[in-house]
Amino acid sequence: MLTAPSRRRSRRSGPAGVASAAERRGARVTLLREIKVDSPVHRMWAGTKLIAVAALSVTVSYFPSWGSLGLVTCLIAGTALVARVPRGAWPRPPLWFWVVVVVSGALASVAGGSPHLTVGGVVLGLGALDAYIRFLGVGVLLLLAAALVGWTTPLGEIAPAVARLLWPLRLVRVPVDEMAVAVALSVRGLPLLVGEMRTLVAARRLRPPPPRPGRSTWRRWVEELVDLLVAALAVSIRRAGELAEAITARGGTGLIAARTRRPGWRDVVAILVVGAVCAGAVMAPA
Amino acid sequence: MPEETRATGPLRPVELATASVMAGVSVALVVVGWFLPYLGPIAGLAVVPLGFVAHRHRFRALVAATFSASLISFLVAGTGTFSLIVECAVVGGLVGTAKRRAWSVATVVGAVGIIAPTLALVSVGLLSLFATLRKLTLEQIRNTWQGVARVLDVLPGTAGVLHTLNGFVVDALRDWWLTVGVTVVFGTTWFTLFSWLLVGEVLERTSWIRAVDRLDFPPQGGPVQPVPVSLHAVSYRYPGAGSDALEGVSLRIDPGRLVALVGDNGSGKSTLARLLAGRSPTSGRVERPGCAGLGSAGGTALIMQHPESQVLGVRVADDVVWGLRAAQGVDVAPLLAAVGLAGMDDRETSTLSGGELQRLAVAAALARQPRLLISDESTAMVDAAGRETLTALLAGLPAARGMTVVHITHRAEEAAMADLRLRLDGGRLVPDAAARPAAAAQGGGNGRGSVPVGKSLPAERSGNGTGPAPSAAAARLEVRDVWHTYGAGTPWAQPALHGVDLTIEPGEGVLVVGGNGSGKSTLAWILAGVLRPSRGSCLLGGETVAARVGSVGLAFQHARLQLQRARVASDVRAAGAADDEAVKNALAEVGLDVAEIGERRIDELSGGQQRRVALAGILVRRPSVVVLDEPLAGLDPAGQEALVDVLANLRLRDGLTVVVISHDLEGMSRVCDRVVRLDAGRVVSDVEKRIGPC
Repeated sequence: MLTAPSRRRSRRSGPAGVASAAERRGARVTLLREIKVDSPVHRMWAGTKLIAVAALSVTVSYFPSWGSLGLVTCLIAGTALVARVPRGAWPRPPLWFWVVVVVSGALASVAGGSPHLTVGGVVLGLGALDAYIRFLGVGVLLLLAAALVGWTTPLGEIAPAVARLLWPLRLVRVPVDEMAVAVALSVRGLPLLVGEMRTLVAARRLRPPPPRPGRSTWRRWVEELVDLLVAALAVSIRRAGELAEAITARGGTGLIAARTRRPGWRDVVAILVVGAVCAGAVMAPA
Repeated sequence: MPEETRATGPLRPVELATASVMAGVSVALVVVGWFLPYLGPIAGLAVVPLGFVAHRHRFRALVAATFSASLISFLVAGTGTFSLIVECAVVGGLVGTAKRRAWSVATVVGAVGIIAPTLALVSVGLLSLFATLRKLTLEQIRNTWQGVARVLDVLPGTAGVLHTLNGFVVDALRDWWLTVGVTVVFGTTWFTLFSWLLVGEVLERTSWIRAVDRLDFPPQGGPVQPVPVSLHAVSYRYPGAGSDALEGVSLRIDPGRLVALVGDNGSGKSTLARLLAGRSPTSGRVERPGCAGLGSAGGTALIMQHPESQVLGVRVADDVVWGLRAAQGVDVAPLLAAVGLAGMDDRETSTLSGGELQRLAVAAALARQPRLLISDESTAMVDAAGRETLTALLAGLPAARGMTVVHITHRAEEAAMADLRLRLDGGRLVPDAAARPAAAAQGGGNGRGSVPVGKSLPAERSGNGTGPAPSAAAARLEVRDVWHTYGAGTPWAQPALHGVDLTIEPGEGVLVVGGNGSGKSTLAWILAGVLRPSRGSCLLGGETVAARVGSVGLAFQHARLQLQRARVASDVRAAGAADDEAVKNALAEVGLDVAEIGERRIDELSGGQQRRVALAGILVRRPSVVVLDEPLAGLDPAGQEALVDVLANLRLRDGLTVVVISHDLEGMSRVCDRVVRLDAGRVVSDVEKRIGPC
């Protein structure tokens, strides 16, 4: 269905970012692409968000208790609310994802573990189901935390923030600036790359279909894969050459952004909140 | 074969560029594999781009690529994709380095012997550290297994097998560290072997494609002062070339002048641009008061042909200051205003049109206050309106800022306002005379009827038994009330088409024109069925095109992506040719000779030849309609001429329906006699103009 342009139209932005979309059945996951609204989360320094995601990832992985998962869920939901993330932005997993989730959950429940629950003669182990949901929760929360950073941060602010974050490493002669330039250039190239990949896939679809899988045809599949990879790489190598000339024409590397946002009071508040959530997660009963 | 690299010091531009681009490719592969589990093994292919970096460049470039790729992949999907990238970097780095340094088998085995156990130790160490998550994961595996076992238990006669398996699973989970360690050691070893073969194959096939930085020449000493510059009997020959690219060129460029340098592809104009930018000639003298100072303040600035690849910043303002040293204070707003991009500071550069990107490149050049600005074909890939603005901008710079501007172009009319007009032909300066007025072959309308249609086609084609017989089967292509929005229902929704209706009769030649963002490329994808519209339908002979992808041919602007085999003939064959005869005929239809070109490598071909081979690959499937997206963009006049000949022939003699998508009206009048104009996703005009028979 077509969305009414007046209602949901964002500021014109090209096909930027990494969007992995299985468009059939409306499934869609869009990541690393800013939602262009103004919010306190958008105004935060990108480095703070990177630190927050790293801290939450470690905490949740270390203490995957119900209490800890609950706290982090609240934090993510709260941040999304403050950041005014619209409902349409959230990932819409394809059908097979739900099928896998339900089947795995059912298998786990059959396996048992106390406490037990008997429904119509079938004994279900809620203990296993409990473990299963927590296990799934860790994965989903980590993905959503990373997604929130992408949705609230202009792509151009990531590399400068990384350069500032890693500044201490300069003291041990790590070429931090060079690495930040590499990140900035990779990010700049993503929209071009996404376009090239889409074209490559479409070009392949326009040709006769590949052979059906079978024992005698796996070799042709590998050949086909190598062909596509070589085409993608050939285009990338040429692009790298043009990029190199563009850098040389500017007299080499230097600044990568016009205005770099600095950490402010907002970031202090955010770090305190994240710190409190992490501490709460650590202390939450298992 | 590795590129020569300086052993130490900061990364050179070409190393940095390769590392960044390949990092992007590896992220794309890993992310696709992560989110589409049925394509899971694709993630492993990330060893190829990272292995490529290790093979072509030094370790430091691999570190930069790995850092960039792992950071971005962490941002996309967290620790899972992050660790995949690290794994691929380790294995790819090993394979690439081993191949670059020609390590012996023993050395490689030794390296794997160190790396595999190290990775195993790291995995076990991390799992020990994250004990709770580990227990949860192991419990998960056990529960799933037991669930499966309970279900299977219902089947008779499985009890014994299940019991044995159960014992095995229980043991494996109890001694998890052993299980994980052994799995990682064996997995890494197999993965290295697999990568060795795969990376080797890809490296072999890409070995002679070079990322060359033709501006990377040794800096000259002295103060920066590029003009006035005099060339005395200057010649230049590229290393390994058989003949001079420039031969005995003498000229003088004074400060504050607007110089136009006209010539066709291969005439040596870009070589001359590089000499002006500071490369030393192989013979003759270049005299200037100081050094050229490419990219330095007060030195030389260079604007190149491809709009997308010379813009380095993510946002417009970032690009203006990109590469400046922090000390130089630059006020971005007035610079953007000067090139007509006022107020666009925060726009992402990926949303700009070609003309806007080129003007942004001018703004970035102006930030360095250059004394000499060289525009090397900067107008070649920009639409007519954008070209006009850009040319006027460049022409105004000498008066407005006292700069010297050298504008290189293949369009004679752009030279009109210059103080000094130079023409290069075959590496030599020739008198610029009105004697060769329309040499830059603009295709300008009917005047070109003098070129006999089919002159470039082998005569044998017309006597061919397959004959024109419009494979067409006279099917009408109908677009019915098509709407399309990218990302509908998300905050990134981007409407592209608003109710387009279009009927294309068999044998018609239609030119669809529109500016950036008009939806013309979206329409092309829908016409070919590779994109399903959000609403409405596209029918060929009453059948949905999307259900029969391939029935309408689509030629992309980026022809290289459409050519998927190593050599010309094998590519056309893979595109659907029944036999060698069909390959020969298809190539003949696009004016190429299989005997001459069939065994050439795809990457040895010029851009124009690649487009024609891609077209042959489309024709071989006998489509009744061919859609071409920007078929002339980036081609030199000779290449454009050849392609227009081919298209005119296909349509007028073979009865093929041809739809050309373009930002320009130029050049297609011999092929198309109907012009459909798109603006903001709507058809705003649809004009039939009967031009004289060609």
